[in-house]
Amino acid sequence: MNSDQSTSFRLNGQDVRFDGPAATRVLDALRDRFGLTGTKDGCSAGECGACAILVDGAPVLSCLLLVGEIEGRDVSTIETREDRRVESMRQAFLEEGALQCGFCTPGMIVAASRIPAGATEEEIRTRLVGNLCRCTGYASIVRAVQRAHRGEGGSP
Amino acid sequence: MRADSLEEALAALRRPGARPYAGGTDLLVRVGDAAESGIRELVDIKAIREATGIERVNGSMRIGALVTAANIAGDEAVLGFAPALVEAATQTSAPLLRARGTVGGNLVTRQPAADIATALLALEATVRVATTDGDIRRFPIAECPVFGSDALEPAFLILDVAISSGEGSSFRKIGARRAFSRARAAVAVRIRRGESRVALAGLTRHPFESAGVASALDAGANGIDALERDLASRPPAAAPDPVAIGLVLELIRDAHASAVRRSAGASA
Repeated sequence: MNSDQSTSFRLNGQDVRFDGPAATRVLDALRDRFGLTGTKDGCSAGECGACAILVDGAPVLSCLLLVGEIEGRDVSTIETREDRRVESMRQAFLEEGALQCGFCTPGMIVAASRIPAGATEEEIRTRLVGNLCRCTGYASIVRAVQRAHRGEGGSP
Repeated sequence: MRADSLEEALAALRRPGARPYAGGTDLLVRVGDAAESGIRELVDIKAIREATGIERVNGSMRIGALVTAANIAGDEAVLGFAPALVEAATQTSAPLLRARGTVGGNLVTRQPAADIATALLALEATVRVATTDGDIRRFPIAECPVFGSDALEPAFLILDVAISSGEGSSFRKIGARRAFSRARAAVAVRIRRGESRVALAGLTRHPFESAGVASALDAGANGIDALERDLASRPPAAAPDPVAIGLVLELIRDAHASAVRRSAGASA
């Protein structure tokens, strides 16, 4: 995947095109080419979860994904206004104050948005083991997820 | 580039610096400095049909090299046929990594305590490999790079693994944290017709099969002598945080007991 080419995909509800090497990391394309700096590069190794985005509705680590692989796919980042579950999770995090420095927060919200409603606290924590937070101690994050699940997250 | 067929992939892999790219959970972490890693080209192999799928073939189960840890963790057929493999796939890494990390990747990784590979070793898997000369050959799983062997040719592609029945099997690991930790010690045990097969990981540079511990367990002993002999005769683990031998023996005992129960249940 070393040749320059053109990759077309859907980004936060818009049709876009990335002109450049197919081996470019999606994380870098999002931040540097499309100016969507919400998604963070915490470790470049898939170990922190700060780079989580949604591809065709499923959470994926964008530091371990190459642009060539998202041809024709539907990509959503934390900046999306098109995803009801991301919206309600974002609102719940704000209401619960489930962040301090905010660095892990975009990836955390994206990953949390895919935890099924009705998950127990144990299940919530298990689903989020790949999203590291150095600030909150996770308690407020768990409460935010539970709040979103109770439907108190507010309307998009 | 994306390879649309096995032939295309093998042709691409003959080029210097070309590497197969599937989930990328190992490869993309190492690719950064091309001069250091030697990686010049990524060949996306995810479209290769021959490396996909989970299926029963006569008395065996075939698992494609592209099958992910998440696929295995959620597969009822694998759970019944080889529970140790599902346990390994469930306990390894974290959800988003499991969704991408593949069986093939775990057999070529440099991670010293590869969980899925360890379970496959106890399950006496064989691996089918396509070489860039166009041959397709079958090897015992112990000859995969993760176990420290260079028996597979320099340029090759793992297509799938095959395991025979492992209903009486179990996998246990302990790490620094309850989840998302490399195994500081991991044990996989398979019992068949009253005979144990044991694989150990995290204690030495590579996971290995211990005939000595297996015999000891079958004789009703705890395996401490065999374990100490194994550890003394192998390159140590790189990480300088050895697990207390008592803890390892407990892990072995728990995995063995679980395999015994499942084995009894299977033949009931």
